[in-house]
Amino acid sequence: MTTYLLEETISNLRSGGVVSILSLVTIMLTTIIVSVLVLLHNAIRAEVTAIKDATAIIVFLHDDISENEQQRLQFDIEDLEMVERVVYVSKKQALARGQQIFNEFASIVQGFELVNPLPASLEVHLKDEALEQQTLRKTAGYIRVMSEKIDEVTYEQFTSTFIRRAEFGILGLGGIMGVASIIIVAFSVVLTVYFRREEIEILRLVGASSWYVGLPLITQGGILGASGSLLGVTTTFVLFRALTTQFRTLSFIPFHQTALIVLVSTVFGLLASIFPTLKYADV
Amino acid sequence: MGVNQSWTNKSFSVVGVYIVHLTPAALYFRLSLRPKFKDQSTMIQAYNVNMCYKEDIQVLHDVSFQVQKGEFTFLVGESGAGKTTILRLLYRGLVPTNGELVVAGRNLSTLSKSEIPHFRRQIGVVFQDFKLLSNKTVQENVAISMKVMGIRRSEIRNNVNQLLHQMSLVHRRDAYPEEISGGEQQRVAIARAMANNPTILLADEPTGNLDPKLSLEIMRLFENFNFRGTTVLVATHDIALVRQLGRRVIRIQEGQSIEV
Repeated sequence: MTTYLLEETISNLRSGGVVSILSLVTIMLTTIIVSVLVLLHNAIRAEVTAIKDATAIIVFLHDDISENEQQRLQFDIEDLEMVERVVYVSKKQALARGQQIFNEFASIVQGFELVNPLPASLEVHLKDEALEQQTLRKTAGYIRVMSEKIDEVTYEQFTSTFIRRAEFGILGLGGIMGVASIIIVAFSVVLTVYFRREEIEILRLVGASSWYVGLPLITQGGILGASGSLLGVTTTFVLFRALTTQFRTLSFIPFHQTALIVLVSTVFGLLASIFPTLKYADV
Repeated sequence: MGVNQSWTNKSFSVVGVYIVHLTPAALYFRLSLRPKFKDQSTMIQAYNVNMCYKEDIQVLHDVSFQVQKGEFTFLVGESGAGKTTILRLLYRGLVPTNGELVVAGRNLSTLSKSEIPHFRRQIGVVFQDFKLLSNKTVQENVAISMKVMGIRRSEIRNNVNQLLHQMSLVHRRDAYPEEISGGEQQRVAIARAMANNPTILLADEPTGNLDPKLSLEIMRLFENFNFRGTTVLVATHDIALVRQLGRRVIRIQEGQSIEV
């Protein structure tokens, strides 16, 4: 049975000709796009975690702010509903951080020790639910008018709203490509049934069961899905390795996600071939 | 009195219905008119079969006939008389508009879709246009009906060799249908039909494209299979050939069957 299945599936793929190749290429391209989207998604997710750990709003203070006023402002900000905690960063601490950041180019900040131009600041950490563009803007605006000794208030632009939209976009694009793949695989199977209609008819006439006729066609869809996605993932990996020699911080899609992409593609291929097999092969 | 008379009439009519429709004698009488579906000696039973295409084109009108087990029968008639339709009905390629068909002990009107493949494995069919797979060799074409049954490769190989030898096609085993003559194609089709040792062999105009000598040769092959116990039903319009063989004939004329 396995030999028959393999022989017939290969024969079906050969009968499909250009359409089989087209299906394979479409699935491969879809997988490349989905893989890139997953890479993007993973990178964004990593950013989200970084944002959650980092400061959402930074309140830069005037150099002449008194300690009392700084403490009062800190308490007032901490009293705000969306605020989780507030950390004071003195001018000295800011310089130390600067030196740490510019470690390799220490000469740039060497002269700063005499006349420190970096301002003291309050780092405002917000609760998770407040990490939205609108809430951030509102909270930053509210803090801005709390004291005249505030020089500037900056807030994180790369917020969860952006993340959500990006995720939605990724899902949408992935979905569209997935549907396109399903349609083309289904089309490929329909065409195979059309090319082999005479053979299918003869098989039915000599007593072939529905499984005998239908299984190679469904397997064809599965094989298209699996091989197309494997080609896609491999191509993405090769491209990734070639393009990311400069950006070593990025890592490729983890194995479990790669396996999931191939698995989903195979299942989609199988599902896409069931309907045309049932309808056109009279199985 | 009037009421009593009315009651009496009613009771008579009830009794009448009983006598006409429900008495054991009436039931026996009625049942005797029905085909004996369980009759093992009858291989094909057609009972008042009607076939309409697209509602208004009636091809068969109340066709009834029987073919006994081990019989060699010809189905004759002009082109378009309905011979091919009858054969298609017999291998369940078509469903009659009404009437009943019992083939190899199976009532075709109660046959489910999933039972059709198993039913067809008992029947060998030789089609008018041969229906050979153009992308498969002679031996692959013969093997196909055994492959669908899941028979082991070694067994298939042996059976195919035997059949090809019997059909004098051994030297053509690796040829494709388009590379062999019409007579050879016909023999491949017969070999495929006989590959599973069917209980019934249906042949639709098997000599339609052959010369008289080859036609007779093909018929001798059928006779050979029939001699070994296969029930053979051959649809043909070649009256000369039918006369030559002197077998039982069922004539289809204007969609109706006439025993000759």
